[in-house]
Amino acid sequence: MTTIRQFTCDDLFRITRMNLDPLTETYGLPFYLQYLAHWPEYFLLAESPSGDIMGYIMGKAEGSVARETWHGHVTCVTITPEYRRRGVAAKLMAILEEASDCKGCYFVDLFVRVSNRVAVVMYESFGYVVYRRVLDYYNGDPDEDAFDMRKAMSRDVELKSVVPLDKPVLSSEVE
Amino acid sequence: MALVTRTLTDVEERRLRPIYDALDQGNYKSAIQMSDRLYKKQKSMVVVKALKAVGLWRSGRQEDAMVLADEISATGPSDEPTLQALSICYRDMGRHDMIAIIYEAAVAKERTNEEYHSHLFMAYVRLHEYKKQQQTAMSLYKLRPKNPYYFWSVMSVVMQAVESLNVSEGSGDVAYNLYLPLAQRMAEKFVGRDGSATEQAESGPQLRLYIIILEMQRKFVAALNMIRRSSSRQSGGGVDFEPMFVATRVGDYLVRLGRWREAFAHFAGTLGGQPDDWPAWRGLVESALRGSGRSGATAAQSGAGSDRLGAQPGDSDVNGLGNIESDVTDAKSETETKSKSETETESTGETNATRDSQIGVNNAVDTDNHSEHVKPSDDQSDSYKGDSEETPKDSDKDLLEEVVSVVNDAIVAEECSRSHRLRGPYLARLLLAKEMSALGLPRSGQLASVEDLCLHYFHRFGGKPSCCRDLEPYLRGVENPERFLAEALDSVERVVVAERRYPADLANSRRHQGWLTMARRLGVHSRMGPEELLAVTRDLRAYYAEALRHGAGLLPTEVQHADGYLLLTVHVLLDLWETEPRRAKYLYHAIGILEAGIEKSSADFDLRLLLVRCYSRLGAANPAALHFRALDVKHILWDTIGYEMTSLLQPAGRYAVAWTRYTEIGKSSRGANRETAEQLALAYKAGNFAKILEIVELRRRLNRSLHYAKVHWEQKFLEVVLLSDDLEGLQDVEFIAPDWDLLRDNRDLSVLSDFGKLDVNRGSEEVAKLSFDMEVAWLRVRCFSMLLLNCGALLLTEGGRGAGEGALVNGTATPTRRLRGLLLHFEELLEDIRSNSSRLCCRLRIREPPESPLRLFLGFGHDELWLRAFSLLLASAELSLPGEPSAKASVNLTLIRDFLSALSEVCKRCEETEFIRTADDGELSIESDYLYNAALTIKYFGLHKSSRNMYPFGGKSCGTFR
Repeated sequence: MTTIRQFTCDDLFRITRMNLDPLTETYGLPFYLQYLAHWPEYFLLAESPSGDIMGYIMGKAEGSVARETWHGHVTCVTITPEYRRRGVAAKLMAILEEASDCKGCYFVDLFVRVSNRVAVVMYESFGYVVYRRVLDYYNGDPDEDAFDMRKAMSRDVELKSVVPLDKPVLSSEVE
Repeated sequence: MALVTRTLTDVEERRLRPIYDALDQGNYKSAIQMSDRLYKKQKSMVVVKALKAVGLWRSGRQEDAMVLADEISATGPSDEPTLQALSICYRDMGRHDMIAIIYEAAVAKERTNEEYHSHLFMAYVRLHEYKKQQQTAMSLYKLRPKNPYYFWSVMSVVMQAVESLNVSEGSGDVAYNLYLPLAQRMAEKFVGRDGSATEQAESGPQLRLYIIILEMQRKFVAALNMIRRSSSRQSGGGVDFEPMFVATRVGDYLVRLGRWREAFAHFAGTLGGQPDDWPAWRGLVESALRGSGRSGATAAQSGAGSDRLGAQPGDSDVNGLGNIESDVTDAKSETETKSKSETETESTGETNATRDSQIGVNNAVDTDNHSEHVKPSDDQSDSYKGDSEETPKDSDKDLLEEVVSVVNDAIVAEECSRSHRLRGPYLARLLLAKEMSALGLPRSGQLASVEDLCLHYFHRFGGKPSCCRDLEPYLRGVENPERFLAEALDSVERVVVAERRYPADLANSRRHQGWLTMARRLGVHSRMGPEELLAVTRDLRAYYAEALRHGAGLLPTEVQHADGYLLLTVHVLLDLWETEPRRAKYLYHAIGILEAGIEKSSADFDLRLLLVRCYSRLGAANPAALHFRALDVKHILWDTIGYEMTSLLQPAGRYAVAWTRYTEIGKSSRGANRETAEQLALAYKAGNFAKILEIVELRRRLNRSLHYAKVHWEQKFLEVVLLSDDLEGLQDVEFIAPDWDLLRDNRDLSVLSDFGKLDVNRGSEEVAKLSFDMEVAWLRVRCFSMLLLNCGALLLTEGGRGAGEGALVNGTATPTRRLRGLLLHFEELLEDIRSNSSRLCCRLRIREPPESPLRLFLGFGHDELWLRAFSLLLASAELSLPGEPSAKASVNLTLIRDFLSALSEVCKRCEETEFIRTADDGELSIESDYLYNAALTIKYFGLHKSSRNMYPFGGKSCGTFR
C-alpha cells in the first residue's frame, strides 16, 4: 500500500537512504533533471503511509518507430531495504509499462548486472526475458556483463522484439 | 560537439569536421592547431576562431579563450555556426549573459530568423530574465504562430509571478492581481474557459499550464471542471491527462473545496479500482469525518505524501491540505451564482479586502474584469467558512457509518482474497479509529480500539520489515503496553534451542525483530537498569548469531536478515553509554559489534552510519572517514548527508583531508546554476511547465543550502589560516555573507533510523530545528572570524596603517574603522549566542545530528580569546592616530593583559580536561572534547604562521598541515 506519484525535483533531497544501497547509482544533478524535464511520466516515486520513500523508478522512451525500436527504457528502479518484497517494484514497473504501451512502444527494456540474481529473477517474474548479454557493460574492477532484458508491449504483436540473440554483444554495440 | 553547420558550404564543412571531431574526442591541442592552420587559409571563416576559443578554454587556457571569444563577439557575428560555437564556449565558461548578447545582436541583424529568436529565448531562460523571455517568445510567435512559442510566453508571465512572490513578503499583490490573471487570460485564448481546448490548442502541456495557473490562484472549481471535462473527452480517445493525474487532482480539489460528499464518493470510486491506494483511503477518512461535521479531523495533514496542489515553490502556505478554509472562495462563488455563467461565477468571490487590494492595480492591467485575483488569506477566508464548506446535512451524518462500512467491506474482501497483500484497508481502519478517538467520538461496534487494531495488524503483517514503521503513528494509542506486547509476542512462533526460545524461521525472525523494535519504541528498555540492559544485549546477540543462518545464501550486495538484532544491540549499548558518558567501554563494545556486523553485511549502510557516529564521538576521524567513504556519497548526497563527514574532519584536526573533501563538495555546490540552466531550457522545449517551477526552486534551494555555505566558509578558513604562508590570503578573501534568513536545511536527518522511546526523545522536527539553529549560529561566528582576519590583515599593510581615524578611502571605511564596527557586531553576536547558550550549545545525543563546534568554542573560552586578540590589534592600530599617547599606552597594556588572560584561560581549560581517563576498574576512556578543543586552539596558534604581526607573542611555525 503506497502512494505512487511523479517524482519532483524536491524529492532529490529525500532519496538518500535508497541511494546508499550499493547497487543504486547516484547520478549528477543534470542527469536526473534531464529525465524530469523530458520524461516526467517515467520518473515515479513510491511513498509509504508513514511518509518514508519506499522506492523510485526512472525511465524514458526512445528509439525509432520506423525501425521498430521505439521502446520504454528503465534506467533505474530501486527500493529501500525495509520495503523490499512488498510488490513496490512491480507496481512501479507496471505503471512505466502502461505509459510505454500508451506511447505505442514495441517493448520495455532494462539492463541488470548478471551477478544480481535477485533482480534477474524478479524481472523474470514480471515477464521480462533475457534478450542478450552485453559484455563489460558495467565499469568497475573488474568490469561486469549485463543482461539486456525485455518485455514486449501490445504493439509488438508477433513478439519480435523479445527473441533472444544467440551471441553476446559488446557494450559499444548497444545503442 | 554536435554543431549544425548548414550555412556552411560542403567544402567548408568538410574542412571543419576534423576540428569538431577533435573537440568531441577531447583532443583540444590538436583542435587548436587545426584551427590556426585553417584560419590562415580562410580568414573569412570566423567560426574557426570560435572553435579555437572552445579548444583554448577546454585545454585550460582560460584567459586566452575569453579574450578570443569576446573579440569575436564584438564583431557581432550572425552566421549560425559561429554563434553556436560561441554559445558552447560561453556555456563552458558559465557566461550565459554573453550568449544573450550575441543572439540579441544576431536577431537585430536577422529579424525574421526563427532559430535565432529561439536561441535568444533560451539564453534568457538560462539568465532567468522572465520579462525578456515573455517578449521574445511573443515575437517568436508573431513570426511563426506555433503554439509552443505562445505558451513559452504564458509561462514567462507565470515565472514573473513566482519571482515577485519570492522577492519579498507582501509582493503577492502583483502576482495575484497582475501576472497570474494576465497568464490566465493569455492561456484562455487557446484553452476555453469551459475547460475545452480551442481548435488551435494542442493538448497535454498547454492544458496543464492552464491548470497550474488556476491552482496558483486557488481557482479550484475552474480547475476541477476543466479536468473533468477533459477526462470525459479522453474517454472518447484523447490523451490530455493520465488517469493518475486526474484521480489525484480531482480528489484534492474536492477536499480543498470542502465538497465532502462528492469527495467521499470520488475516493470510494478510486478505491473500487485500486483498493490499496493510500491517498484515496486518507481522503476517504478525512472527507467522512469532516463531512459529518466532525471538523478538526486532520487525517490528511497527519499523513504524508499529499500532492502539492497549487503549491508553488517557496509558497509554504499553499502546500498540503492545511488551508482548506482558505480554498473555498471558488466554492462560494459557485454556490451563490449557480445560475450565472462560469465567467461570472469566477468573478463573484471577492471580498472587501480583495477589492481594496485591487485598487490601482487594475488600472495597470488590461483587465477584462475577471476580478477574483487576490489570494485569499486565512483571515479573509474565515468569513467564508460557514458558507463555503458544505454544511453537513443529515445525510452526511451517515458518512461516518458509510466510511466504517467501506473500510470493513474492503477488509472482508481482502480476507476472502488469495493474495493477502493489501495493507491499505487495515491501515485505513487504524487511521479511522485513531482520528475518531482523537475527536472523542464514540466507537461503533464495527470498529475495535486502536490498541486491538495494532495487535491485529501486527499479527497479520508482522513478518514484513516495515510493519513497525507502519504502526508507528498508532503505537501512541496503545494504553497497556505490557498486555499489547505479550499478546503480540504470541504471534511469533518460537522453538527452544539450548534453553533459549528462538524464532522458528525467517518469517518469525522478522516478526520477532519487529516485536523487539516495538517494545523498544514503547519504552521497555527505558524502564530497565544497566544490568538488565546488558542482559538484553546478550540475548539480542544470541538471536543475531542464530538468525544469521537465514541469510547464508544472500548476495554481498544484500542486507543480512539478522541485522535488526544487531542494530537493537547497538542502540541499547548507546543508551548505556549515554547514561554514563564517561565510561567509553559501551561505545567500544558497540563499535566492535558493528565492525563484526559489517564483515557479514557490507551493504548495510545503517551499520556504517552508526560506526561513523561512534568513531566520531571518540575523535577517531580516520576510521569514521573510511566507513563514510564506503558509502560512495556523491553529487546531491553531499548536500543531504555530507554533514556526517564534514562535521567530523576539521574538529578532529584532519585538515588536509577536510580540505580535499571540501573541494569535492564545493564542485557539487557551485554547479547548481550551470547544471540547472540547460535543463530549464530542455523543460521549455518539452513543454513540461510544472518542472520549470520545480527546477527554479531546486536551484534556489541549492544556492541557499546551509551545508554548502558551511563547507564554503570552513574551506576558506582552512585555506587562509592553516594553509597559507602570507597575509595576501587573508586580504583577498571575498566576503559575501549568506543571507541568514534564507538559508535552507537540505540535510536528510531521517537517514539514520530512530530507535528511541516514542514519547521521550525530542521529536525529529524539533531536533532538526535545533541543529539547524546551532549550525547557523556557528556559521555566523565563522563568517565573522573571517571578516576579522581579513580586516586585521588589511590593517597590517601600509594602506591600513596610513588611514586615519574616521577617514574614508575611495568612499569605503578604513580598516581601523571597519575593525571597530566588526568587533562591535561580533561582540553582539556572541552575546546573543551566550544568552541562548542553553539551547544553542547543548549536547546532542549520538543518534541526533552531529554537533557544531559552537559548544566547545564558547565552553573553552575561544570566544573571549578572539575578542581580546582583535581588541588588542585595534588598539595597536589606533596608537598611530592622533591623541594622548600615554593614555593609549595604558589602555594597550590592559588589553595585552586581557588577551593573555583569555589565552591562558583556554590553555587552562584544555589542561583541566583529561584526554585519556582511567576509571577505578582500570578502564580507559577518551574525552573527545579535549581533542576537538586542541584542534580549535591549534588553529589559532596557526594564525601566527600567516600573520605573525597580528599577535604580539610572535612565535614558531606551527608546522605543516598538508
